[in-house]
Amino acid sequence: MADRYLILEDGSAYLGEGFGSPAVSTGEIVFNTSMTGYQEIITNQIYHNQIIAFTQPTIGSYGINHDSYESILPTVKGVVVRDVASISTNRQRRWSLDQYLKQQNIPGISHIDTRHLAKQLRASGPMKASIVDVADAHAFDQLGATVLTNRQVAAVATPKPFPNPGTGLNVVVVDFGLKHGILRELSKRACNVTVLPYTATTDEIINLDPDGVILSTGPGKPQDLPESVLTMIQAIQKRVPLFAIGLGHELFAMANGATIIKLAPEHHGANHPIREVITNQIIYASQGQGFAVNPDSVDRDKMITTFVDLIDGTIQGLRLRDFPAFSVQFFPDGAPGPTETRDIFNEFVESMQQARGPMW
Amino acid sequence: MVNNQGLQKILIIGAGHNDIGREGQHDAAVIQIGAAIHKLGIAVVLVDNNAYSVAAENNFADRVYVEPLTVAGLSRVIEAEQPDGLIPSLGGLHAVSLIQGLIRTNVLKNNHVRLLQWDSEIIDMIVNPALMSNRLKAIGEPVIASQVVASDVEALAVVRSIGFPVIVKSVAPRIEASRQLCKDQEDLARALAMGFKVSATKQCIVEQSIVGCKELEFVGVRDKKDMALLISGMENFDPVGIHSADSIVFAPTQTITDQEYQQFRAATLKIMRRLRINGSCHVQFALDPNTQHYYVIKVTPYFDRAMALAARATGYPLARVVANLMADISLAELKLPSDYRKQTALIEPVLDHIVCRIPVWPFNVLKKVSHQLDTVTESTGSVIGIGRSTEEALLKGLRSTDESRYHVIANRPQNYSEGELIQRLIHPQAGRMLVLLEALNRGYQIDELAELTKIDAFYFYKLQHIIEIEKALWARPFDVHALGRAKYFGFTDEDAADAWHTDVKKVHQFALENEIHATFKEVEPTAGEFTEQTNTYYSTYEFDNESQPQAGRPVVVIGTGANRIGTNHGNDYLVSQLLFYLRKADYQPILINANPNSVAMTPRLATKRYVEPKQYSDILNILAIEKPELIFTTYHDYRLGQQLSADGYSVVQINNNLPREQIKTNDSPAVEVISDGMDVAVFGVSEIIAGNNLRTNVRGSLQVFPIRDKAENQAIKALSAEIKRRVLAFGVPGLYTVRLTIVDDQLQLATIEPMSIATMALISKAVGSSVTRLLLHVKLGEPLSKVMYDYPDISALNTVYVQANTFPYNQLQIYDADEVTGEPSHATGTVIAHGETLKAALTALGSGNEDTDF
Amino acid sequence: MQKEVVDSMAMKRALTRITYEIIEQNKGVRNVVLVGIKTRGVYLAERIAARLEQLEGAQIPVGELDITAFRDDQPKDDQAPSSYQLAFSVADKRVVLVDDVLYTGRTIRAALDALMGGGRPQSIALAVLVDRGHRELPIRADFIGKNIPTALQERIKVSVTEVDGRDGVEIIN
Repeated sequence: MADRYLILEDGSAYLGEGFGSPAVSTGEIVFNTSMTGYQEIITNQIYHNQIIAFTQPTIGSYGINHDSYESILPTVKGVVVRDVASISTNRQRRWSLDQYLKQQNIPGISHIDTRHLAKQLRASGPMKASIVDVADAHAFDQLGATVLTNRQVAAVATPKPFPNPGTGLNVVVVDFGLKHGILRELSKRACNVTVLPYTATTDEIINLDPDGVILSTGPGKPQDLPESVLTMIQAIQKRVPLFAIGLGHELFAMANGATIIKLAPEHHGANHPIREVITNQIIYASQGQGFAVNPDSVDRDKMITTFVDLIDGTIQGLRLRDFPAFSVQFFPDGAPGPTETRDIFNEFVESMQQARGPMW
Repeated sequence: MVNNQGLQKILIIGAGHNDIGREGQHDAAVIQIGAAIHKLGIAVVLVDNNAYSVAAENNFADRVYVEPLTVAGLSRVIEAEQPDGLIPSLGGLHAVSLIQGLIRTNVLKNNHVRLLQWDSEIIDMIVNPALMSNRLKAIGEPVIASQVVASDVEALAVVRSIGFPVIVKSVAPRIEASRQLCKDQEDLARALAMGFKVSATKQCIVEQSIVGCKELEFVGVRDKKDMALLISGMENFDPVGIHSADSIVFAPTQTITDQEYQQFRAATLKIMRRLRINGSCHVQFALDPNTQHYYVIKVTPYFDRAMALAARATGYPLARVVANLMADISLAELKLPSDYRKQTALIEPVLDHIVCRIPVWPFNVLKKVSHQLDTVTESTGSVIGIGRSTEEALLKGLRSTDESRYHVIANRPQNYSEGELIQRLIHPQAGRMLVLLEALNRGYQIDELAELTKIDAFYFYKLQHIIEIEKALWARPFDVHALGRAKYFGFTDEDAADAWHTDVKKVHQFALENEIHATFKEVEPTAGEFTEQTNTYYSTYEFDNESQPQAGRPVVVIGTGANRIGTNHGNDYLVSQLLFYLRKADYQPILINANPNSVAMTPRLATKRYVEPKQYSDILNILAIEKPELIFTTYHDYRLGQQLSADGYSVVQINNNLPREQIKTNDSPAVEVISDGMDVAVFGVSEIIAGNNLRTNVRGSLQVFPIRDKAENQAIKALSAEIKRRVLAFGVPGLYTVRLTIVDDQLQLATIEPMSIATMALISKAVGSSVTRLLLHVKLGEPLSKVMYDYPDISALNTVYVQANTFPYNQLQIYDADEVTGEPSHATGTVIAHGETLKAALTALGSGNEDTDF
Repeated sequence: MQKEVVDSMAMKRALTRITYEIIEQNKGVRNVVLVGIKTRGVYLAERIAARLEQLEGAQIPVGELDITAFRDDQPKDDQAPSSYQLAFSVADKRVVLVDDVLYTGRTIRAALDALMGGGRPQSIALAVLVDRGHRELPIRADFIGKNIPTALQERIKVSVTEVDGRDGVEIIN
């Protein structure tokens, strides 16, 4: 394998070995501390245009599996690891990570001191980075000159509505860069799902007569989305039970008057203790978050904080006082990560049932 | 923090003597947990009869009873001490069954002792696995189907529901019967015929076979408020069918998907919650790699090797946390020492390194044991290798076993036949790594090997990679890239020296000149997300070095490493105490050790730890950073000590050994002394007596201290001038044993030798004050007058202490009279007891040890 | 035959949702008091109160109501107390009655009788963990943990850790 470099906008360069695609690419680099689930992480659209560095040293050891995709096409800009595993591929494990990244034209780089990189990013916050063949002044100039897009949601969210039929409750999912886990959890609960583009209007949603609405996860900065999204949320939350996740949570908070701050250091992993306020119990959840709701901006007469990250006190969940509308910052479907938070989908289903009234 | 249950005094039952499958991990846990509980303002009472218990000395507990581990012995302690609570999880399985006895005889109830951590039904479930199995089934966890049958018809009915393969075991067999794996009806008929024949009840157990499944081990903690978190998931390299203590184990898991991982995490936490386990718990799973279907094999809520490994691998302060949970303080409330982050107890550990645990077997000493690996444990201990890749962790682990040339053998062809190779692949033996490498060298395909061995193909790619790197190393002498790559993946200068037919120093120099430097990384539980200070490091070859020299007076102590047969853990006891007293003497002791179960690894003993192999080049890398004032080596590492001395380091070689030869003559007295090189002080007289004074069939000998025979003592007094002269002639400060013989009814000096560690433990326990402390201070050059001034007066002792080695013959099924000799080099543990008279002491030694191999 | 229809997780979730709904309906917790109907209703009320306290930082009074003496379908016992004791007055309060199972509605009617005897509350709402149907009176719950359609001959057994050592709801037939 060829020598390649990971270069960072602060001028640092790491020598490593290329794998996956030989392409040169640039994105914002973040580190993820999850111990398992590299495939889910790489295919999660929240990492659109980002380069992911894994702190878990061996990545790729069980290949790529058909039931571990979180999107159809991954849109990360690179994968940084200490060690990439060779494995046998067969019917069950169709591709190795190396083959998969080649197919998807995503470069990977191994033999990186990812522990040092994580410590560096922990101090600096995310930076622009490139995976290149030569770490010369030209490469750094190119990196410095690259302007990263702020239209991530438009790039990854569905442009057209599509259904995921079921026999149960009728749910509309507004797609900002949907993680498959959300659909998987709704399918398990037999929901009849329609996925709408993030540009959907209140009328378009209400005309589908939903029992409940989900605002999905997605990449990027919530402030970059059009104001109309917030208006839609303000209207919907009064009509039907609403469940907002990740980017959806940030938008839900904004729609109710809160402001969003850049989070430093970011949360990418699954091991932070999170307190569920109402029961005072601690849970663990899959996190991937670069922004957070500013706690001082939450109108306490209007919203209740439901989950708090105990490491840095960031808000992990909100709820309206007057309507069955609630949100979580983390990924309640896990994939990868702890599964105890999947119960929140049951909460959502029960809210919808309650709103409909008893069936006899 | 005040504990929540008003506890004032708690009782800890120790694990007793070390044994196959049990090293110092329990003692290490007792030290840490005892100290943490003491800090909560709760008095700790410890009962143990392990002569090498470090926890039983040095004031780690408020009160120590060296008493037999029997229901009667514990009852006496409970009646005398009236503790409020009993900690059930630190003494292994034996302590659990003793607690069952204490419950059944109402001792706990009558003395108002609360069973901490568990409901009493947990005790019954641990002692009787069938109860555990039923309970797991009731909470919806899959367990292996098994049924007792009394006829072929019944057996076939069972097989129809669970399918082949099955395992057939005889119920209450009259001879040593094994488990039979049956793949078809013919096998079954044969196994049943045999099984019914030898069964006292004419019954067999038919059990679903999970041989060949992957084995996973998960460790979690839970508090009284039902908060639970996962500490570590670990994966056995070897499939189910080989006891996990005899298996290579990796942390974190290497080959399972997130879905599989989360399934085990959720099951572990659920089991802890539903069984209401307060503390830590180890759950073993079997995973069918084809279906993702799993079974719970075993639930262990008491301290064991997996918990020790989880703590060492992650750097999570497990013992400290569990101590708080025992006192009913919750995870959210508990406070860690200031070197941890406030929320560390609540963060689920994540790793950015890989830990590989390699078992160590006693076969180099006990040659007649079958090397076949199966469901019975045979390893005496284990070591770990930590690295940043699977290859590096594995190679460092293999090197840490100290098996000579274990690691560079990949390209040395083995001379067994093709048929034999396949046999060895299918029926694994200890040290099978060489067989696997040989098969790869002979061109076996990876998927074929995975199929034959049921080892995940992932590992064979790693082994293949190791072979490639090594070949490149051999092919390219003094090539920077070949060396750099080899070292990056866990090879050493020794390996390169071997490949290049040169000496280590030249390679070391060549590496440094070409800027191939070892970098040290911290073993901590957050993968670099947060700053932690565990002061525990491992080496790798990367960009960033995190280990900085310490302020103060650094001293490097080379630890015991792999626990070998021959009461090697006695040496661990010595090292632990050296660390403890070096710290007391204001040194900054730095430990080098790769044994996860070692007592010396207890965080508060050394100020800094390196989890590293003990090869010369590994040591040099550490010394280059630490620049110690002194280096301490023990007898294992005599040659290493000499090498370092020759390099100009100040090395203190502790030459106290374990008794090498068995003294069979009865009543041979010895005078135990200490010397500072100028003067000699006498501790007293010890004696070795033949073991069958205790009961028949005792193979080893017993040691007694002190002997208070007046005539003998007077005779010895008369010899004191000669003793002094002879000891001083030895020239080196230290502890010595002066052996005497009787010639013509007269006591005469026979030999002088460094006092054995066994004798050091015996005297220390008898006097209640450590002689290791004295040894350290005379070795540091202090005069006896200063060293001995506060040592208790031994002539005031009115108790006799006796000590005996324990042996693994029954466990390893060795019945060959040539090998069942009871010589000290076969010992796996040592027990100690006392009494007002020798007879009373011998009775105490025997009680509770009726089935112990002495 | 016993069949678990609500496990401890689902029960926890139901109480959490009821708590949020109480806040939604009452626009906060000002003036809210909880009255649990003995035995299990009291423990459920206490759990809801603990949740409200976690969220709002306010202690919500919890009363206990033993309505055996008030039931119209029980034989009258002259020795039984004809009133009940709450540690606080319900006058002008927003009372949330809490019970484990809503069935015929007779228990609730008796509870309403008992409550009305102790002053005039601002409002009374009803929270139940399980609504199993078969009402004989025009009574409905405002907050329902779970609707469980049942046959008349079936029994519903609610277990709470405080009394039964575990949480859950089972159907017994």
